[in-house]
Amino acid sequence: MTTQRRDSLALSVLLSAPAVFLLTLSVVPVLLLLQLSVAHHAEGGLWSPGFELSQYAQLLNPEFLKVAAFSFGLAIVTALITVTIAFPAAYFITRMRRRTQVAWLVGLLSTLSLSEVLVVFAFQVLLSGGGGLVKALVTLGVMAQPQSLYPNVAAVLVCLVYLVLPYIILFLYPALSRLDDDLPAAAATMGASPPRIFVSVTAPLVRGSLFSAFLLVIIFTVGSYLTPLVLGRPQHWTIGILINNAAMGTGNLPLAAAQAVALVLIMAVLFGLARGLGRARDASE
Amino acid sequence: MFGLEIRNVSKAYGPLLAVDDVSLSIPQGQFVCFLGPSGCGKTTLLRIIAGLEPAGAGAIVLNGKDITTQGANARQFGMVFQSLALFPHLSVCDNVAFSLRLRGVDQKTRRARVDELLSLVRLPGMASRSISQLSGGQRQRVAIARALAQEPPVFLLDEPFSALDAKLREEMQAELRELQKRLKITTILVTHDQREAMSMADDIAVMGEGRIQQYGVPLSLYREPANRFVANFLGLSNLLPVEILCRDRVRLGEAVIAVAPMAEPHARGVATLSIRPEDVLLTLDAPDATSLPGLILAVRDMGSSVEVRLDCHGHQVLCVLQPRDWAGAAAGSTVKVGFPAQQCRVLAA
Amino acid sequence: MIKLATALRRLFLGLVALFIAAPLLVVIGVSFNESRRMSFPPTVISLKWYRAFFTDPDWTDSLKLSLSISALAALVSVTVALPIAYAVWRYRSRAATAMASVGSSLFLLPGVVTALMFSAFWGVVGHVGRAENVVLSHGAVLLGIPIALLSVGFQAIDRNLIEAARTMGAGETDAFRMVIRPAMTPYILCALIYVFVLSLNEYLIAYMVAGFSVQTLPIRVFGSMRSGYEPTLCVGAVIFIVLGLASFWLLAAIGDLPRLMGRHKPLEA
Repeated sequence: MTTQRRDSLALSVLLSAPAVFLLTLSVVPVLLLLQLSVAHHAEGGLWSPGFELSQYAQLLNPEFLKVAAFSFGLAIVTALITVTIAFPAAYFITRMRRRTQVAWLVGLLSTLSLSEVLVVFAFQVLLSGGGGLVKALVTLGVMAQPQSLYPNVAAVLVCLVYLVLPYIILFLYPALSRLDDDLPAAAATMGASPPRIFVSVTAPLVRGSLFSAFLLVIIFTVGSYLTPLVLGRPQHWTIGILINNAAMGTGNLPLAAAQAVALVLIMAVLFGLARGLGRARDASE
Repeated sequence: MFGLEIRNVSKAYGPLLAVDDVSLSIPQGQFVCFLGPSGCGKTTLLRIIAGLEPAGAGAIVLNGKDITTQGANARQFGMVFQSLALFPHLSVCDNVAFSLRLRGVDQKTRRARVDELLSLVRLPGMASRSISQLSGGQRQRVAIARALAQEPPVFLLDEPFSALDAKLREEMQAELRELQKRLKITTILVTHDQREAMSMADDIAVMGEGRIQQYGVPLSLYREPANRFVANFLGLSNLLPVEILCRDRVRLGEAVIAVAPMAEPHARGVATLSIRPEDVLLTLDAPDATSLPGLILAVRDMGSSVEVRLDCHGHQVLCVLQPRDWAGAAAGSTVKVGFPAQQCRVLAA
Repeated sequence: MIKLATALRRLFLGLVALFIAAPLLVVIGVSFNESRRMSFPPTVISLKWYRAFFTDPDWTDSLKLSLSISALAALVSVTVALPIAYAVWRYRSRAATAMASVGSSLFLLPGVVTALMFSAFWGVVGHVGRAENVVLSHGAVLLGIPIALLSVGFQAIDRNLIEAARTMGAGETDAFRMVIRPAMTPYILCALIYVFVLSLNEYLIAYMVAGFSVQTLPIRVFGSMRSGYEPTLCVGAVIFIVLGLASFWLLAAIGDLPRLMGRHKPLEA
């Protein structure tokens, strides 16, 4: 038997079971979602296959567009705050001694894996009238009398940043650990000041990673559900909540699917635009 | 034949011919170096011999038996890789005993053999160490011991010493050569370092562009390079464009230079004159040598030798001489440059 | 100048650490609170709610259910990812590379979208409200993690090691058994732990796929949060925190954590 024949035999043995898994549990569900979004909605949580765009037409009402705009605005602000904190944090962590570094990694991994349910609950306790933060503020005289710090947008934002921060620090970790320390040192010997080094040497080297980190935050937060539901007011609701309400509350699966597809499409368009802009800027430089 | 034969082996990667119709026969017990610049096909040829890479065409024959279709695991030629490829999760002992374990040799015999091999490479008592605890030279020895454990019919080494510093490298070269002589094992070593090849090999195959450019005893290759490539790669050579006048006369610009008589009748026309820097003379009273006026461009005194860069008829000539032969002259002065006929070889342009 | 920079760096890192730790400390504190009221810091320390948690079969059943769902999801996910990552590395197979990107893509969709997708999927399949739905859905959505981690692991294996084994007489299976498997063990464990912990904490998919009948721990915690505060739920939360910390400490002990997280240069102790 030739090597090639043997290799292709080995490959088919290796890959057939994973291929079946991927087909049934990744490809089919995605196709199903697409079909569902153009399916016919009947009363009582039922639907029948077909092709109609009535669900998408429903999305054009100002109510949905307002929620969509708010969701993306929220995600973008979260992304800005998170990346601003995560970048220096990740940079410092990669420069620590091994033991401290491992401790940080363990801490970050543990918080990253914490259920959104728990984080939201913890913030609820922390920000409530009886929670530690309010008591501290009252003692310090910042706050006149105990008063709950939620629901409001700020609470939603802080909680979202908390949820994605460990992800983003760990996402930036490999890129920053690869950063050659000799480059800033070389710039310093040529008379560059630390801020100057940061702007003209460090930042350009990691610009791609920062950009990807920014997009990653948007992916994670634009569909957020629990956080705005618990820590926000109804006017702070997001697409995630609408989708969930359509699917679980009113039982209109086609509408929920259309909303989900629209969410992914808007994301894709935004990312495409952002990449295009980045490339145009690179080309002009 | 007893030994290893490579018959018309070729290997192409897409449009690139990495190995181009190479034939070579290596008698049992020889130490051969494949010498050449990176990308000359020497590592590919070694991997084909090992069975790690299928030959595109041609045959590999061991002791008269065609083994071309056998895989590396059937040939079991011991091989030392450039990266050494020691198993990081295994101890020194388990690394060396790897092939023995595969053959189902029992633990006691294994252990005895490992001890024997480790003392052979002068690492006695290191069996229980982990690889990460070893120095560069020690890892080298473990890799050699591991490749020898299976008593391979052919021993292959791919640039094994390139990561070592100069002093350790020379020690290891001497040790390997001594070990090879003692075990009388057919050995092929791939290197780009001509000093390494010159000091170790019985025979050298100089490789370039996928072909063996010249094969032979180190000194004859050095003295009588077959072409420009060998003249330039094996040591330094002055290569001057000349025109052939007759069997032992060439013309360099205006001057006529006497050369060693050419063996086969050369066509008249353009050729290359090759002369080693140490053969160029800077003394006047050299018999049998053509003298040309040369302008000294630069002098580098290295202590053990002196390098003088000259301009002869618009061509740069490098001359290396012993300090005691160096009369001392400053850059800018003109001297007589001697080209001894016996050391002047004419190569194809 | 340098001292000031150091002080600023420490202050910044301290604040980040405080931000990360604060909510957890609050939950842990409240769980030891004697009082029924949700207040921090606790006034009287007590283990009352821990006792309540572990004697309430509703809570312990949820815990057991969650642990088994996550363990199975981790097993499924790694079992599917391993041959794909191996085929990409060993055979540079295009089909496997395509499968790796398909497998990783679900992880990059917003959670609410994948949750909806799978809720519809199991509805169509006609297999509703079962724990195995959660196992398979989690296995599929989290597949990107083992694919990424195992690929890092395979790439870290020097291909010369396999070739060296072959020149010593090792066939394909010998090489896998004696060289690849030992090198991959820490990465496989790491992938298992990672998927386990993420699955254990996942709420939305579990809820939308089987939430009516399968009460995983996050679902019960959320239910208890919505239906009025109950201090036992703090104990549930603490269990999560402890399980997460323990898992990742274990991981740090088994493998080279900085390396697993993608550090290239080795790090001295």
